[in-house]
Amino acid sequence: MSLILAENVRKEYQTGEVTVRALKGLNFAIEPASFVSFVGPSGSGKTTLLNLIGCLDKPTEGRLIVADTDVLSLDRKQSATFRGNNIGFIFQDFNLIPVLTVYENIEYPLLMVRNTPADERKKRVSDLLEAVGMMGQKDKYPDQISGGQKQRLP
Amino acid sequence: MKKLYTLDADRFSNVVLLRSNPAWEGDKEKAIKSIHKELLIFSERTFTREIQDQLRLISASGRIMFLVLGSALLVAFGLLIVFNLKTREREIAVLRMLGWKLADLKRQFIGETLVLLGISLVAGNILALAGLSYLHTRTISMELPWDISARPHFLPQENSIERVITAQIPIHLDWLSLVVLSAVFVGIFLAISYMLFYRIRNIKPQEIQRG
Repeated sequence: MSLILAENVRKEYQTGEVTVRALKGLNFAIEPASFVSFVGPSGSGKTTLLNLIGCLDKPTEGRLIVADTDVLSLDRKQSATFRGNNIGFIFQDFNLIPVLTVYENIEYPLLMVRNTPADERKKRVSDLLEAVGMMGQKDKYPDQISGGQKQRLP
Repeated sequence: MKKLYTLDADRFSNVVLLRSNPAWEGDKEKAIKSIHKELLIFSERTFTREIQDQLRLISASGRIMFLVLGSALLVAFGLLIVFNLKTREREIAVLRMLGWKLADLKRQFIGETLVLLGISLVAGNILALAGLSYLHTRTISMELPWDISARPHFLPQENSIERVITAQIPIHLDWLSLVVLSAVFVGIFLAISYMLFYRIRNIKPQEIQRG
């Protein structure tokens, strides 16, 4: 079963009287544990496609299945819950919360989005810090670590 | 009196009564007023009353100033909330991307506003009460001008009367007004927060990808 399945996905934006067709009938399937890059010139629809896959937006037409869930069937609240539980974002400029430490930045979504219990949360955060080699910087703030280290946190 | 003095309005404008018996004051005032209505009747008590009337005017001015300053603070607080929201648009967009629902955002921002409001109310009321308590202990002294004093100034000291009036500043703290006004401010601030929440709803998560 594909992790992401797109069938005839279309996305159109209406700006005044002009209709912008960002995606025109996309069809693809991405299998689990695969590494996929979307490349293309500026304005080709890469961000639009990522927004659809990330459940930040909905296709105008077509079918998009992410982790066995039809994106079109989710309302705003369900989309937020789905994003919190299933999708991770790594931003170009990291978007770390400056007033929280490295540890707290990782813990924040577990606490506020997933309502993870405290002991499970602590174990999870520690495991993640060990995995990315950031245990030694757990008490530092984002402005005290390097760009490469910031990129590991999301 | 009428037999002894010709109370001609051109020659006399003030009449000063000696306060040997305060009960006389009312009767004497009426009697003198019946002779000539335009005469101003003064005694130490009336002068004190005049001072207190002026101080009541100051108190009323204080209430007006409180309302004006309170309104200014209300506007400032509203602008602060707007500014806070504006500078945190990116944070809001990121939180929505991570999975925060609108209800979570509402709880966060209104909670922050309430904490800020609570601290402001407590600190402000403490400062106000402390200031009022201090003012209440203060007195002001005013010297009666010699021309309305009971005795002329040129008499020897032992024959002169005390011409200095001392009055406590009339501070009155209305606890009911304090509670009601505090509640009104809380209500207005919460209303502003709720109105601004509609701004939060329009901050789309994908907006941060545009920088």
